[in-house]
Amino acid sequence: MTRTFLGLAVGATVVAMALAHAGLHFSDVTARSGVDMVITSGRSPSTQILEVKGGGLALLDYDNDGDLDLFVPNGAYLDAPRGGPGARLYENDGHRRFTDVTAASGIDFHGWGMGVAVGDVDGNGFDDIYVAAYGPDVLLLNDGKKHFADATARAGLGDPRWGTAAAFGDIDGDGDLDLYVANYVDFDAAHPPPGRSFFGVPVFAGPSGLAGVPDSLYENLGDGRFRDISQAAGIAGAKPAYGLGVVILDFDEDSKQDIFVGNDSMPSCLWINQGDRRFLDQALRVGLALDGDGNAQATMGIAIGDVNGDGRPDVFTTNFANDTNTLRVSVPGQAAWDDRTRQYGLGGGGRSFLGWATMFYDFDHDGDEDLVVFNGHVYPRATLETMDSTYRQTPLLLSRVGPRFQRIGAEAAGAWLAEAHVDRSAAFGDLDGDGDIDIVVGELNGHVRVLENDGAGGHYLIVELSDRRPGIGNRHGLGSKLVLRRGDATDTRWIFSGGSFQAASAPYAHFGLASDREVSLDVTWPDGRTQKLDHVRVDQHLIVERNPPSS
Amino acid sequence: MVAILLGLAALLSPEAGQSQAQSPPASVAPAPRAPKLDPRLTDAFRSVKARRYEEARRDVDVYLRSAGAAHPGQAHFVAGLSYHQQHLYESARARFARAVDLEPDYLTAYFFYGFALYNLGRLDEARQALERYLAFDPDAAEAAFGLGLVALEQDRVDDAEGSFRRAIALAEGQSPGKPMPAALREDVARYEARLADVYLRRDDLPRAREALDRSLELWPDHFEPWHKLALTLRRLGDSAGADRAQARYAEALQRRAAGGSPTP
Repeated sequence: MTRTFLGLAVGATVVAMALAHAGLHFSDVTARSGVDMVITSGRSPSTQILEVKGGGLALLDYDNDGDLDLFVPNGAYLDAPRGGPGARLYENDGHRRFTDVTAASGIDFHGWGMGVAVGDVDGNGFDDIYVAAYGPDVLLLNDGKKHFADATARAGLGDPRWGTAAAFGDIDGDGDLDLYVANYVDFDAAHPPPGRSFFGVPVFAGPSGLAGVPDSLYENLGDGRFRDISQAAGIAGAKPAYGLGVVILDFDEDSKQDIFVGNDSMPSCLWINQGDRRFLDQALRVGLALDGDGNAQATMGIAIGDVNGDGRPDVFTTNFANDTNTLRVSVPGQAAWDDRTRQYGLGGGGRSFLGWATMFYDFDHDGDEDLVVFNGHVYPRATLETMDSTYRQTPLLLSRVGPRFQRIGAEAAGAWLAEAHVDRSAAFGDLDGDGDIDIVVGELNGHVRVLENDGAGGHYLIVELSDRRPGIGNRHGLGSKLVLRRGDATDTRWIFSGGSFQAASAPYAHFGLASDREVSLDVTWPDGRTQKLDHVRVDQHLIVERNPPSS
Repeated sequence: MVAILLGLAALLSPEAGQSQAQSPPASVAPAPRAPKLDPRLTDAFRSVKARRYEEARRDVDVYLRSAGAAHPGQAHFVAGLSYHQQHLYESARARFARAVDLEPDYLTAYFFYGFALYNLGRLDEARQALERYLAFDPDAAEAAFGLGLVALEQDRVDDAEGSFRRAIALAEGQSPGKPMPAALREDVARYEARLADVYLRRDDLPRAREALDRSLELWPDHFEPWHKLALTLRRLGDSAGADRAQARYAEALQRRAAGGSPTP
């Protein structure tokens, strides 16, 4: 990889890679990665709904050395929700070899962590970590000296309700990162509700029958404190829902950041930013609340991509078994989305899978975005005979072939992907600096796995944004849109916080390119400011500095 | 056979389906040359109808172990039907596969085999099974509808339109010159709703709206077309109409959640 800063090479580590596999292929390199961790999530097999949500993952460059490190919040136990084995931080040596640096980092979180969001909330130039948890959420501030401090109380955060997912975004355009937390249900681990029946099989209770918990929106005040503006923003007034996922992005392209929230078994929300920190849920009106037939879905994972090539974000969500995952594609010329799941080949074949983490990436560098979905049931007694779905499930790796997605045969995708697991979260990024997208996956009460992408050929371009203006916390330009132009063709990507499932992935855009060697880029920053770069050569990790206003 | 299949029609009501517009069929015309169900399997079939699925499967097992089991394929069909009714499509598929393997002339099995395969995403096989059924019973509207669903899933939009139109014509032809009975109206409403999907796929909003209007005229409490109509009207710029459709969708959904039956 050549790492370039404003077009000037600052590193010249070109990794020549002999490709053992062509196309979409991943190898489990966990044993060689130094990551040796089992995620704790209560008992196994699971007995309550609290135990089945998994636990998030985050890829962040916590030491600003140019590679992606790994944070795992980890879970806990029903009888000791705040006494789990603890979060872990792994430092990457740049070649996908990780060292556990938890103790030295000062991270001392032993709660039941769920979703993770990453961003520089205090504008000191280093990424901080927010963990949505069952129990008080935590904010871990990075002091830039490879050390984190729990700043939850000082920041005015620490909601004790069950938070499942979190995302950062600059919702008021002031340059710092505000925070949205999706909350799930009111659940007392000490007094779980009685179970119910599913397909005639006794199972644990929830979420239906449990009280939903309203989500929270926090404004970053810029002085280390956050203010809960859920009420004034209109968020708290919504019917409490079972929030599971969140993405902050400018969905309607009005230069204001909007918020998409995936709710379990209830209509999803699209909080359209009205300005002045006020939001209106427009999901039902624009076609993002339900599937095309009008059914609410489980909506665990969220992937954003430009499937129809119109330059606007399309939304793919993963769902419960006995249902399909759902692809909602933007309607050209309108702030509306249409369920095109079947058109793109993502329908019936997915009904036996219960999907969680997901994302679009051009994994094989053939010029279009592929799709991966990690799966696994919530009910340990699930079998084809009892529930038409199994407990352990293989991931789905779907290659874009012409107008449709086609599943890559499990064997062809790699041995680990051919195996059935009970996967949950996944974070995405280039772990070894070879320019393709690798994956870290977490299994419920199972190992954290490092999957190396060893099938990508072609070319690539990684684009990282850098906004170093004084007082700007959104250094990575979370919420930005990037359009790559290659001849008459364009590829669009977004850099955003949230999505996948409970995960924070690398805060940059990745483009696969089959044959192009030089491209141009249009960057639209979160506040709508645009920046154009011509004659950008490919096969590099490009850092684009935001132009000062006068330039 | 006719009596049994009429019983089947009542059993396979739309409420049993996950999705009203692509639920298991609400009415099944008997295949003209299909052999009759072995009377020794009648009790098992009645158990399916009464939603006593385990009991039905036990009866089938007893039948299969008995010396006089002349129709093991039919037995597997009844067992498959019990799974199908529970939406356990993989188990249903396995039993239907055994049924058509053992008794290829028992055509009704192909029909359900096709729907089970469709629900499992095995689309080419689903198409083959439904075409096989239609070859023997070309008037089976629901089988034509099933072929339309498969075609829509495979993005063969023109084929889907043809199949849905055929299903509509066949269903309407069952009641010439007379008002359609409620169940038939609901069938045609489902076909029209999926025909609208064809037009939506083509971004032909005016024709989608027409199909949805026809669907809702036949079955006003069908929530799916109300939802589609709301989105369609909004895309057409008719916000007031979209709001009204959205309200009707919410009402229909509420009635469904409350267990109320739709009013034809």
